[in-house]
Amino acid sequence: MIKYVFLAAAFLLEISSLDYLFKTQSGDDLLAWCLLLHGAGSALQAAFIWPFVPPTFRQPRLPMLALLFNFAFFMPLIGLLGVVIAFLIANFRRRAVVRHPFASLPLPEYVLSMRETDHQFSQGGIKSRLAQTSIPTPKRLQSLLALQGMPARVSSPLLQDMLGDASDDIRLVAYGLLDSREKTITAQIHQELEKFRQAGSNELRLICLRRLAELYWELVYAGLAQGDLRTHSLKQALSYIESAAQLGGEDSGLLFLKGRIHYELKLPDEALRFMQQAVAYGLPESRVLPYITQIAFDRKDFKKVRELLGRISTDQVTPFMKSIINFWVEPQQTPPPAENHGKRALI
Amino acid sequence: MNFPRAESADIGLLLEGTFPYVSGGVSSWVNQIIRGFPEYTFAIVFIGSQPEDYGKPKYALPDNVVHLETHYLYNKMAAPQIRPIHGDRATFEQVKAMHGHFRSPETQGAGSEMFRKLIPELAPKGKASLEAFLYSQEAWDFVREKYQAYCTDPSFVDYFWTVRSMHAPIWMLAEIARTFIPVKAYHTVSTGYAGLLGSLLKEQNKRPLVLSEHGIYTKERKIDLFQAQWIKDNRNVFQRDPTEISYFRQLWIRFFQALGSRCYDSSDHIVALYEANRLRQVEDGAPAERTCNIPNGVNVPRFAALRELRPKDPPPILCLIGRVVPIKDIKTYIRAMRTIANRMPEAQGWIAGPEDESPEYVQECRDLVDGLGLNDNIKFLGFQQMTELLPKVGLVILSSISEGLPLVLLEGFAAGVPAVSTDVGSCRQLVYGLDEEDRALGAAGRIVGIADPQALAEASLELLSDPQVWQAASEAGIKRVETYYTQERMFASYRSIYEQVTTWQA
Repeated sequence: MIKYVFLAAAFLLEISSLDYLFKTQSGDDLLAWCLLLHGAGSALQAAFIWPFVPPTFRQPRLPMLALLFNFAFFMPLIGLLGVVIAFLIANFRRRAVVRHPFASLPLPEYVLSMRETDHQFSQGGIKSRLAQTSIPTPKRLQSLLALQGMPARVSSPLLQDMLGDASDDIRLVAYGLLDSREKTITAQIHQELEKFRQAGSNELRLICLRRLAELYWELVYAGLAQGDLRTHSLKQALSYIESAAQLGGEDSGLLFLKGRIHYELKLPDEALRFMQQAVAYGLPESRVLPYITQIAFDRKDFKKVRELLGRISTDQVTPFMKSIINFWVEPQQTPPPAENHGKRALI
Repeated sequence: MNFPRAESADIGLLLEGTFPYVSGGVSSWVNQIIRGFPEYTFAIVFIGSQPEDYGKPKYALPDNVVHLETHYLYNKMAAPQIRPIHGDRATFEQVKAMHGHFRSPETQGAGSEMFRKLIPELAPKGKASLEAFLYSQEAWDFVREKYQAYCTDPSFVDYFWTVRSMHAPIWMLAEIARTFIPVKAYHTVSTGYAGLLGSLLKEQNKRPLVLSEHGIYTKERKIDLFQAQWIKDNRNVFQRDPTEISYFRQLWIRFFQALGSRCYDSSDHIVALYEANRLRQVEDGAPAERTCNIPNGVNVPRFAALRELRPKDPPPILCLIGRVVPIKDIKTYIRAMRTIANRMPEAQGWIAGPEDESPEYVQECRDLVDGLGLNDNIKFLGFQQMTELLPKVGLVILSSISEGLPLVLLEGFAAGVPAVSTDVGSCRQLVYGLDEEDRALGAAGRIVGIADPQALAEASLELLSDPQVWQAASEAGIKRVETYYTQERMFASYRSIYEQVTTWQA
């Protein structure tokens, strides 16, 4: 509504300015009045036109208003008419321009790192750094944090050692790392127990029991349980395997796990028996060979060790294991320290 | 809740997350100090996270607390209206230089000096106002520059908001400092936010500041931050250096270190509970000449009366007294109970302490009791009166991963109950003695490594199964606490500090 008031006011102002212009007297005063009235009229015309300006042309606001004013001031009537026509054309043409919201950009440079990082630790490096109390605590703390990226089985014993460190910070961080690992596994155990309670079929129950056995084993394998608790976890794992067996779920995998648990419980005869059963149930022999070899070694049956290691293909093992196999299997001049001619067939 | 209000008081106590809302060692100590000095009036500022985290006050307010106000840092601040403003270039140059000093431990002192000059500018119309921090072009440019120069995390958005949320409490504390009632001296019981408030008050009103640190706040925060799950790390596999913690973690750690060093810088007396903590304070930037040790003390006669009520032979009851929270590592105690119950089936493990602080952890502990089949051997008692509890127990157990100078050990000793504790804080000194003379009193129990349930179990069994060993430990504890850790000794030390600071003239 207000814009029409503007228009009417503009019209009146322009008329009165023309009136001054065509007055018979002349003088600077009159011209000034005329220009002032024309100026005010032009400003109102610009204000009248403004709402009709398409939004895309409204920025920047002040220069745009000034432009409209100039058209109205310097080219009375024609100027604004021209502007209206220009907007109409512009608005029409604008539709022809398709704006793409997504433009394709050149591929970013391949940044490997925001900053050069120097990898100064290897596993051994960390161990010796942690052990040396003369190294400043922040440096040792860094080494400790690097352990986060390593498998729990490797890092847990190091972290356990750090629990007795003289520096509070080191002790607490080590504790925190161990605790969070233990917490993750315990939480999984509770989830699995809950699932077991709710399981509607034997098949589901079997899956839960297997997971539970594995999780308790994981506590021991990752070095998170010591002493009586370690024994407790192992027995717990065993009891879940037994329950699984009662549901008819005993397979090579569980038998293998049973063998490993018995070995950890210092029951090598049983361990051996279950490993053999696992192979009979279809587990590849290469999986159990390292364990059986270990048992033979514990019994000082070195001939057996050599024979068993000879069966492991060196292509499938880590370089560390490879050198062990090479040591034992390569023909040697002198026989190994002791020999046991007893049991021949361990498998 | 209606809190007392006053126009002025003698001592302004600045408390972060403790008395009167949280029960625990520090809170009981605060309670003990307030009641120990009836001749002074106290005005308390309580700083908490958000009102929902605290229930009703756990302590009745002593009569000499004449003023109490509570402030919550997570509460939404009435942020100034958003409008672009011009920051003062010179002030921002100063802020920039100050942050430069904060980056390295050696130049913290210079940083503190600059901070002191900036304090008056933190006010709403000041040159370093909250508005200037939030909405000025200079602040934005500053954040951008720092991100480009130092940040190893790729996300600018996370960086920007981390910086904002980290700094926001500073203006909130400045506001508290402006409105706090006049007192003769300030006493803060930690560094951190309360410490910064102390520093602001001291610089603003030129009254002395006393700092009593039970743990080392900065260190505890640091450990928390190492583990905190809420801090983002957006580095991808190529950017990640396993030896370097995420940049936001580093930022937070540096922030609390800076808070700590501001407080050390402003404090006139820096009190530690024992020597190792005092050295740590000095290492963190506390001027050594202003530091001293004042160990905790207990009301010995109150506990000595309990010795008569005890059975002749040690009862096979172990008791952990403390809040059920992760820092107490109650799980290690529960695990140790498995071994103890295997060898001494009649043994009972009690856990006496409030369970409302960390319900999740309480559940984890209960699950563990369940999982280890210890339902018959372990009892959760909730909060208990020490005087009723102590005559019934054979051993006080402390399995914490971090402690200062735990009152429960001293109270146990005073009542003739030996302790098995982890090697944290000053526990070794309390159990085995500090100097030659102290050690000659004998061992008041055993010290074991942290998170070692087997060792905790062995040590407890050793004491419980041999009445003679137990008796010797009990006597050593009584002698030690009567010689070195009486309430009178502690009050005498604080009396001299309070006298100095309340009569100090600017």
